[in-house]
Amino acid sequence: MLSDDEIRQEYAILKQSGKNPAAFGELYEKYYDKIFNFIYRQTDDEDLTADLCSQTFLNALKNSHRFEFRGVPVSSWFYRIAANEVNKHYRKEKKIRVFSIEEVKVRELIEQGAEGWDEELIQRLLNYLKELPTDMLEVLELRFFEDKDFKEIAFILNITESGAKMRTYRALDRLRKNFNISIKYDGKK
Amino acid sequence: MGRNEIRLRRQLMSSGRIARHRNYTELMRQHDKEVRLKRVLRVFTYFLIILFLLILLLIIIRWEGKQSAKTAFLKIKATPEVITRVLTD
Repeated sequence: MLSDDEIRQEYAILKQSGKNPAAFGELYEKYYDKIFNFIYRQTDDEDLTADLCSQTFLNALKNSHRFEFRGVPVSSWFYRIAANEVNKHYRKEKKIRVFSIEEVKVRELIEQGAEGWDEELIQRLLNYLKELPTDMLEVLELRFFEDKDFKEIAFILNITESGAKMRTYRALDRLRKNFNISIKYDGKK
Repeated sequence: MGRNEIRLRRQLMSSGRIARHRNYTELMRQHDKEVRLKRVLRVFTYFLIILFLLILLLIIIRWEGKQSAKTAFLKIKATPEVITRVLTD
């Protein structure tokens, strides 16, 4: 987590990049990997991810003067633009949305329950996630794969903080009921 | 078919692989190109506005010229000599 001073420093860099685009390089280098992974998880296509990622940073640079300080890191704004770019892509292509999740992360996330961790459980879990609404998957991704707090999630998805909490806990409750598993970090083990 | 397609990835994307796509120089080039295009568009828009205003001004001037010619013609027709000539005839 960034401190308030660090957030303000990044904000100052972003403001500066309006007049001097070269200053933006620092933020680009710092957040490129994170944004790339975030987009890749929603496309599973490396080249498409690279395109959407550069479009994200290009939009951020172009609109740097519009960013208002709201107590969230500048990276949240990048995530928000990236999420919009991904949505725009799926709307344009009219394709079914892909979520490509890392097995390692899933293993980290889910502690072994009574059923144990086996291929069958993974398959059932994947089938279950398929049926979850996209907005719930987005919240789960940001909360558990990107480690974002609810304030940031709310900003990224342009929803209220209570809305972000509600979506997350609803999805987690469903997971617990269906799989008899306990999930880390959600404070409700 | 579900609402979304969920794929499970065995491997994490390595930072070396991501680095292949990272290109700040290209981003700057694209940004400069967009800024230039935006500037050209702005100049063109101003040009169109000025052209429109000039055409409007020209139309008004011509219309005013026609109107004054019309009133001058009416004034000649309404002189006392013309009226007496009309009455004596």
